[in-house]
Formats: sequence, C-alpha cells, structure tokens
Amino acid sequence: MQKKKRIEVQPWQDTKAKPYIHLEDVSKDFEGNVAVDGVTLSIFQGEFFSLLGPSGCGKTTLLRMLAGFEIPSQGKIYIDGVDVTRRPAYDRPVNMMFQSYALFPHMTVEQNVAFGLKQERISKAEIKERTKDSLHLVQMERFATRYPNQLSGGQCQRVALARSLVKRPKLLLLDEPLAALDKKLREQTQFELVSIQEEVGITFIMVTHDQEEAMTMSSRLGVMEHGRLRQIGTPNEIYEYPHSEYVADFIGSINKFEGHVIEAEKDHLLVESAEADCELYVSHSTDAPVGASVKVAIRPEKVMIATSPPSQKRNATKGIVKDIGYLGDVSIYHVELASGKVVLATQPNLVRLAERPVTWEDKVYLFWRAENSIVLTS
Amino acid sequence: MKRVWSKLLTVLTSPFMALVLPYGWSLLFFLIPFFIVLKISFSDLKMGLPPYGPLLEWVEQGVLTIRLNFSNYSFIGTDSLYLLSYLESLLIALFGTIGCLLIGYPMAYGLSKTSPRWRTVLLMLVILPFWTSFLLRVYAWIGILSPHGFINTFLLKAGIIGSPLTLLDTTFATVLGIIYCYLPFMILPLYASLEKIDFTLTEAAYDLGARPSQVFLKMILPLSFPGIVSGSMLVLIPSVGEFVIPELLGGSQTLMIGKLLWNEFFTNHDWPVASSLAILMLIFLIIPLAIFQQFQERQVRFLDEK
Repeated sequence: MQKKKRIEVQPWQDTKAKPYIHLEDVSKDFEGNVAVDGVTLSIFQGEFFSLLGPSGCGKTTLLRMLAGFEIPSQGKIYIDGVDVTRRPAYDRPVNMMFQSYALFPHMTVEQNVAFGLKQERISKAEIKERTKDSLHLVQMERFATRYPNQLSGGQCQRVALARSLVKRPKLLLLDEPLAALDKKLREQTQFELVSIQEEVGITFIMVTHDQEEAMTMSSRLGVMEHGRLRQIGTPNEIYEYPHSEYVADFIGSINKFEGHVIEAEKDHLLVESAEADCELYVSHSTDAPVGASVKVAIRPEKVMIATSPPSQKRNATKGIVKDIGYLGDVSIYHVELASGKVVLATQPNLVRLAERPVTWEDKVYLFWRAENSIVLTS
Repeated sequence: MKRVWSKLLTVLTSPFMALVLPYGWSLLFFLIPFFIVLKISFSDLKMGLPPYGPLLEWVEQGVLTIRLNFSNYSFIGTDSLYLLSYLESLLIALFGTIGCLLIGYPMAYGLSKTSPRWRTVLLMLVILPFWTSFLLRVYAWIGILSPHGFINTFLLKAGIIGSPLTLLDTTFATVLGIIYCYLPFMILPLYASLEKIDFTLTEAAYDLGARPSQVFLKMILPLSFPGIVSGSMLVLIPSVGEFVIPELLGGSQTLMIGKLLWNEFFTNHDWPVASSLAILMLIFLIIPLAIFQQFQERQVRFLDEK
C-alpha cells in the first residue's frame, strides 16, 4: 500500500504560497440586510475547507457567491488568479453539490451525470467514458439507467457528487452535503467523501452547521457569525486555541471561569477567579495586562476528577457531583463548585457503570494541566 | 333529530360516498345522455315529436324486434362535407391551441416568476374575463374586426390601407376568437406546473454550464410538459366542437363540426344524423386523446415525488 505523502509545511503556513481561491473583502447585502460582511479568505489548491456556523450566519450566501448565483455587493473573488466576481454561474470552473441534491427528475442517473459534459464541446465517446468513470468513483454504475425517484437518499447523494465532479472543476462547493442522510450513513459517508476528495485532488469548500462534520472532514475551517469570519484554522487549532468565546462555545462544550489577571508574563498568565475558587495558571501569554478581566476556558475532557486532593494548588478546585450524563463510551459529570458554578468533566467509562468510583452527591476534586487551558479575551 | 343529522353526515362523509358522488354524476349527466344520443343515432328519421322512430317494436304474437338504422352513419360517409368539416374543425382547434400555447407559455412563466404579492393580482387578471358573459366577449370581437371596426378604422385613418380588410367572417377570426376565449384554460395548468418546478434544478443546470437557452430547453420545458399537455387538452377538446365562435366570427365559409351539428338539429331537424355525427366525433376525437393522455401520464410519472 502506498503511504500518503506527509506535507511538512502546510500551504497556509507558507507565506510565499499562492492562494488558489481568494476572497477579498467580500460583502453581500440583501435590501439592507447584511448577509456577508467583509470576508477575506485564502484557500489553497487541494484543500478541504469548511465554512461553519449557525443558520443565518452567511455561510450559504458566501458559497452562492462562489458558485455565481449571487453577485457580491462589494469585494472580489479570484479563482486560480482569475477575477470571477461578475461571471455567470455557467461560465465558472466551479461546480456545486446542492443540499437537496437537485437531481434532474426527468433524466436517468447517467443523463444527470452527463448533463454538464454535454454543455461543452466534448465528443460523445469521451462523455460516455467520463460519465462511466465518475459513476464508478461513487460506485453507482449499476444504477445508471434508473431515475432519481427510484433511488434512496444515500444513492441520490452519490449521484449528485458524481455529477458535480465529472467536469473536473477547479473548485467543488458542497452545501450541507450530508444533512439529508441518517446518522449512521452520514458518518460512513464523511470518510468516503474525504477519500474521494484526496483521490481527485479537487479543492472542496463545504458549508455545514455540524461542527463534528467540519472537524472530521476539513483540512481547515472557518467559523462564521453574523456574516463575518470569526476564526480560520485547522480543526485542531479551532478546538484547542479558540480566539473568542463564540468560537469556543460553537465547537464542542467548554467550561469558562471569570477572573482578573494578577500576573502577566511572557510565558504564562495567572488569573484569580472567585468563580473557580482557585488561582488559574495558563501557560501561554496574551495581550491582557495585569488587572484586566478575562475568561479562562477548559474543555470538559481535559478536566480530571479525583476523590482525594491533587498535589497541585493551582488549576485545582473541588465540588459536589450534581448530575452524571451517561453516553455509553463516556460520562459527563456536572460538578457544582462552592461559588455555585457548574463545571463539566468528561471521563471515559473505563469500568462498568456499577463499579464507578464517583457517584451522585460525592465530594470530588477537579484539576487540569496548565497547558490545556486557554484565555479568552473576546 | 340530532341523531338523524349526525347519521346523515356520517354517510355523506364516508369513503363510499366519495366514490358514489363522482361516478353517480358521470352516470347521470354523461353516460345516460350518451346512450340516449347513441340510441337516436340508430333510429329512423320521422316527421313528428320526437322526430325519430323507436328502436324496439312489438310485432304481432309478442315478438320484439330491434331496428338499427345504420344509414345515418353511411350517409355521413357518402357526403364529403362532413369529413371536410371534421378536418377543418380539427385544424382550427389545433391552430387555436398552438396560438394559446405560444401566448400562454410566456405569460404563465412570467406569473411563476413574479413575487407572491403581484402573483395574486396577475392571476386575478387572467381569470377576470370570466366575469363577463362569454357571448358578450365574442360579440366584442365583431366590433373590433368588422369592416367598420376598430382595426380597419385605425388602419384607414393612418393611411396604411386604402380599403377595409376582410377580417370578420374568416377562419382567421375564428382562430383568433378561440385563442382569446380559451387562453385562461391554457395559462392556469401551465402556471401550476411551472410554479411547481424546483428552482434549484435550474440553478444546478446553470452550475453545470448550461446557458439560459439550454436551461429553458433542457429543464423548464420538459419539466412543464404535464402542464403543456393538460393545457392543450383543455383548449383543443372543447374548441373542436365549438359553435358560438365560428358562428359569430367565422361567417358562412368556416365549416366547423359544431355548426354542422346545429344545422342538422335545428335547420334540417334530422336528429338521427346529428346524433351519429356527435357519436363519430366522440369516437374520432375523444378516444384517441384519452389514450394519448393515459400514455403521457405514464411517461411523466417519474416527475412526481416519491
């Protein structure tokens, strides 16, 4: 088996790398309602980029501007160095996979896939060949002569993917591609979609409101709020180092403690928090000066639970177990501190439920490592 | 009393009634009259009231005889007038249908594209002509088309023509009248099917590189096909048997089957021939169309939701 080549420097870290897709200060307003507000974004060739955000955050509008269905009120869109801002949808090297799949009901699977190729000056033999290849890629050759209403949801999704890939676009847009599938099929399809993307090497931009989906599939993702891009980064960066409370809250759950800075050094920050009932030591610096109010955040799975006091004094507190959410593989402990603050701590269920050492109304100690917490300044 | 009402209501709303009502209606107002006409078409012409002889007759010693007179049908076959007028009716109706389609399609398409607020107003305008009498509207065309009508007066005053054009009492006027009167019947089913088209399908077609003309030909037109078929049927079928429009606008030179029927019934008082004519028209027009429509429905079934 061929080993996947490991890229040492990611293109977005390379200052000399030329972006493949570039949005420059793109805005869109609909009769005074701002849907997208000054988005600047560079995406590199072969990336799987996700736009993540709640409904109404402008992610779909951004996608539609890339497809050519909407014209930006302001700003420019470049694809492979060419300004396509005002080009109509049929004249862009971009294809889209629609949320509803938008399969043509009066055409067979084969005709659906071939439709895009028929719009070009391509020989019949080549159209046939490429249609076949594309259906093979999504394992739908056996259904070539069926009509869309004779297919299941998962099969429709595959045909839609084949149809949008067959023209070998420079950019493929995916609008909530998995939203219509049930959970089990969705998880399976996530990996399949990523492997197909790696196989064809086309740049993907996906819109989703499902953070898990965005995390598993993307090389990088952008979190949007009210038409603005709040943070761009790899799934790891977004999860471990959110810049803002909004991003921290949007991706997974997080515990936050209010407090004020009592020590600001180059390599660490010390925060006194009445809410946490202890001193919080964070091993990274911020621009917050001494005395500033900040929030220190820690992910529930990074909080450890013990029945005896830990050796550390900082980043350690105690409380009473108020609730336990049993999820099978993990349990979520809701621990109430003296301040009334409820802290979530996720623990893997290493032993069976009955043998669990901690139970309701137990007094427990919570602690975490300094490098696992983050300071949120906005 | 209350119990009687509730019982009646239960019976009326039962699934059984849902079947009985439409079929009962068809039986009473279509099938029974049809058999009466069929019966008359096989009887002899007679002077008197009714102007046709009976089919069944008691001969002496309790023998019942049935007399089927086929001469009415063979008579229709011998006179080419009937065949010609049948063909002319078909041709006029066909032109009328094509005219309605050409004018109605853009209108229905426009309707389906306007904002919902304007749409209700525009739909009202489409239906508005029904609020005045059909006869009155056809009469109005006489005023427009006659030698001293609007069009001729305007063209004469403008100096474009020297003498009035013959517009009224022509086949052209009949086609025009049919287009005018039946246009709403074309627009409404077309609008209904155009409005149903998922606009993301057209977006998907654009996205795959189809230019606007291709999107129309490959998406909108085939997807609105059920509307085209039902609209055309609604115009074609009644206009083949149309009487009022050719009578008022077509003059003596337009021979449509409806006019011929009228003549046979009311001028010649030949009910049997008139009835055979009606039966033949039914056989040669309605039955092929019914088969065609059945076939079409099977063809477009895949357009329906699962």
